[in-house]
Amino acid sequence: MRVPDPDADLVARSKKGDLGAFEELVKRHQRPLFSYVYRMLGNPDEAEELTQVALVRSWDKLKGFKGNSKFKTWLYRIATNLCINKVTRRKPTAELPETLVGPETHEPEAEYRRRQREQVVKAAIDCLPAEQRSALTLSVYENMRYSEIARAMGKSVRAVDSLLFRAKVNLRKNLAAARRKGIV
Amino acid sequence: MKCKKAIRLLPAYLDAEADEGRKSEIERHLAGCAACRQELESLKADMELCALVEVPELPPFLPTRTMAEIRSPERGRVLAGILVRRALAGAAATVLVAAGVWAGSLLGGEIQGGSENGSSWYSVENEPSLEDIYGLALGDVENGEGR
Repeated sequence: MRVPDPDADLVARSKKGDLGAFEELVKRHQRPLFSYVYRMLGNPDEAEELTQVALVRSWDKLKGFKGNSKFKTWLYRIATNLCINKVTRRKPTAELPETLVGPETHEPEAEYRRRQREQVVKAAIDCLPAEQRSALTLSVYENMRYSEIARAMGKSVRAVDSLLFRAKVNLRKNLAAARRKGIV
Repeated sequence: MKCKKAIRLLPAYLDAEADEGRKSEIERHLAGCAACRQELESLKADMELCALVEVPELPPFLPTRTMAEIRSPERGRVLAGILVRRALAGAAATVLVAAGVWAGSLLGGEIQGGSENGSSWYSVENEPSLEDIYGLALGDVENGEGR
């Protein structure tokens, strides 16, 4: 089923080799794509590199894009595959929130507590298995519908529903210690 | 509806993904179940916490570098070179296998197995992946050679 795509015109021009049109697509999508990749990898340098790889790959594979989904969804599918490959290959480095220690700082108490909460929540999300993190990120931060997440992840809607349920259960578990200490 | 089922359906309900029938069912259950109402509130609180996590600024040269990478004639040449090498490696492997089978048949099957460690002296797997190639190309851009 073809869906209306706000990028359709730029995609059509890009397919004909119009680099200016593709540059416009890059400008349009780079910010949310970088945010998504950063939330998946947790490291800005890796996120920058992988965002670039995803964009370059989308150019290389554009002729094969048939428009069965929005360009944005297709681009996220490329990025999702790259992120999940990268995350599953590396050793886990994220620490559960209960083991985190706040940095020594002289900033105001409120700002310190906000940073501490952010750090704890980020760690709780980073500890989720890659596919759960991907589904949660696309839902919470990219505001994608389940059907769109399913296309971006190459899963069924039912599988996305299940991933999101498990992600939310695990997130609750990961935040439990911080909650007991009154951090969040 | 029992609590266990309601709790399983709450995330989709909160995300407005439950169909009308399910939605009414859940709402009827919530109206009479304080524990599940509490669970829904906790779920909302968790999702609000997620909003705390910020993302760093977009690297300023990301679009420039991306487009430079795409425009780089070097990238196309590197890719073409790799593809040609892979094709040649595949052809060489086929010839070697055929030669091995032929030699084996001449020796009457007395030689069994390959090298000591069982691996081929040359493997297509040793070729860099496309990610490696992209990585190299990125390095070129970073070093100012790909501009």
